[in-house]
This record gives sequence, C-alpha cells and structure tokens, in this order.
Amino acid sequence: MDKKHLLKVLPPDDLRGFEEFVEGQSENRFLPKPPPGGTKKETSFEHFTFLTTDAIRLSRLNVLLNEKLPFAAKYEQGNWLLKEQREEIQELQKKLFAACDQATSPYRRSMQETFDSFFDA
Amino acid sequence: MNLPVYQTITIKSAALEDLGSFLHFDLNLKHPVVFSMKHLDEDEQRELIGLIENYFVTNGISYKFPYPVYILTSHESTISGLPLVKNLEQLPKFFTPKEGKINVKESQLLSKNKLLQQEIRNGDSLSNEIEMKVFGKIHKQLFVLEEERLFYRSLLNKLVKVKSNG
Repeated sequence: MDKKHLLKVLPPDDLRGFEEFVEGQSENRFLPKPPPGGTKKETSFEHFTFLTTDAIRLSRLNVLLNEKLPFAAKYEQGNWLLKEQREEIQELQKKLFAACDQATSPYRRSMQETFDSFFDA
Repeated sequence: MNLPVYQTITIKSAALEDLGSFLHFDLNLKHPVVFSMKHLDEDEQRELIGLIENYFVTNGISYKFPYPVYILTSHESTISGLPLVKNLEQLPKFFTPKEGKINVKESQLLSKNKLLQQEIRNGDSLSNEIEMKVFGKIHKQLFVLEEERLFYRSLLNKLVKVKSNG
C-alpha cells in the first residue's frame, strides 16, 4: 500500500505513532505501471500464414478430387480432341504436299537449283 | 492439435510386426509422413518399400492426399511409385517443422482444415488416381500433336508468303 492510499483510507487516530513509517513509504508502486496501450506481444504470423496456405491447398485438392475429376471422367473429351487434332494435321499435310508438288513451288525451285549446281555441266 | 508438419517414423527392422504398428488408415490424414529406413540393409529397404506401397494400394488409401508420404532411403526413386528421397533436404520445404506454440486463432484454422482433410480422405482415391493418369496422358498427347500442327502451319504460312511475293 502506498503513502497516498494510507493517508486517504485510515483515520488520523489510527495513524498516530506510525508517522515515520508512513513518511518512509515510497510514492512508487511495487510494480511499474504498464505503458499506455498495453504490452505488445511478439507475434510472427508464420504459423497463421502456413495454415492459411495449407487450407488453400486442401480446398483446391478437394475441388480437384471431388468435383473436377468426376466431371472430367463423366464428360470425357480428350479422345475427341485427339481425333480432331489428328484430322487437322492430316489436312495440313495434304495442303503442304500440294503446295510443294507444284512445278513453280519454292521447294521444287530450291531443289532444282541444288541439283543443277551439282550435276549441270 | 499439432501443425501439419513432417512426422518422421524411423523403422527399426524389416519385421512385419514393426511395420504393422506404424501403418494405419489415418497415417497421412493430418500431417505428412517420412519413413526413415536408411540405416537398414538395401534388401530390407526394398522389401519394406514394397510392403508400404502394397499397404496403400490394397487398402485404397492415397499416399499423396491429403498429405504426402515420403520414404527416406538409399534406393533410386524409380523402383517404386512412392516418392523416395535420399536425404531430408530433398523433401519439400513447405512442411518443415516450425517452432513455437499455436494460438487460439491458429487452432481454429486448424480445426477448419480438419474438415477438408476428412473430405479429401472420403473421396475414391483409386479411381481418382486412374482418372488423373488418363487425363494427364491424353493431354500430353494433345500437347505433342499441337506442337506438330503448329510446325506444319508455320511451314504452310511461309510457303504461301513466298509464293505471293513471287
């Protein structure tokens, strides 16, 4: 109990004989007052960030395994896409051969120049 | 509740009883697991890897989800479907153990994750695994064909350009 509190609470008669003791009391409290705004805890958000990232990972996994994969299995379009792709490649090959097979095509001209340079007199 | 970080299990011998005490249905439900068996003979390691893989396949449990199972061994990773590592540095850093206790907010987040973990576990892991492999294989083929198509297309465009320029 500090000096101010003793003088305030106790009647003067009770304090008689204890004047020296009361005078000796320090104005300071035993424990220092906490700074305004409270003490700040040292918290790093390492665990929180880790758990949040893990939650995102788990929810994405959940969507993949329980929604996307069953849907992909039910409405499979991979084989159809492969077929389309092969057809388009065949079409392109035909066009390429047709373009190269003409007498005036750059390919034939280039080949002609190469052969002429080697075999022409 | 604990953080989902690596739980290392050191297998002392190749005895089935020892292995049986480690392997259970919820092994990788809440955290990733690392089986350490580098101190055993190479033959024993190979046998154990086979047994662990067999356990997961026969019980229809995924060793990839919700958390992965790794094996610390001196064998090459090609001998098994399970992910094998030669040292701890090869493990993904994401799940490395972290210091400190978790607070109330983090604990709440952890219990939310528990539901997701259970939901992932409840899925049909075997059919999902097959489906993923099929999907991956088809899309790899598609990628190769697309590369081929782009090559032909670029050739044709060049030819047309040369022809138009005379």
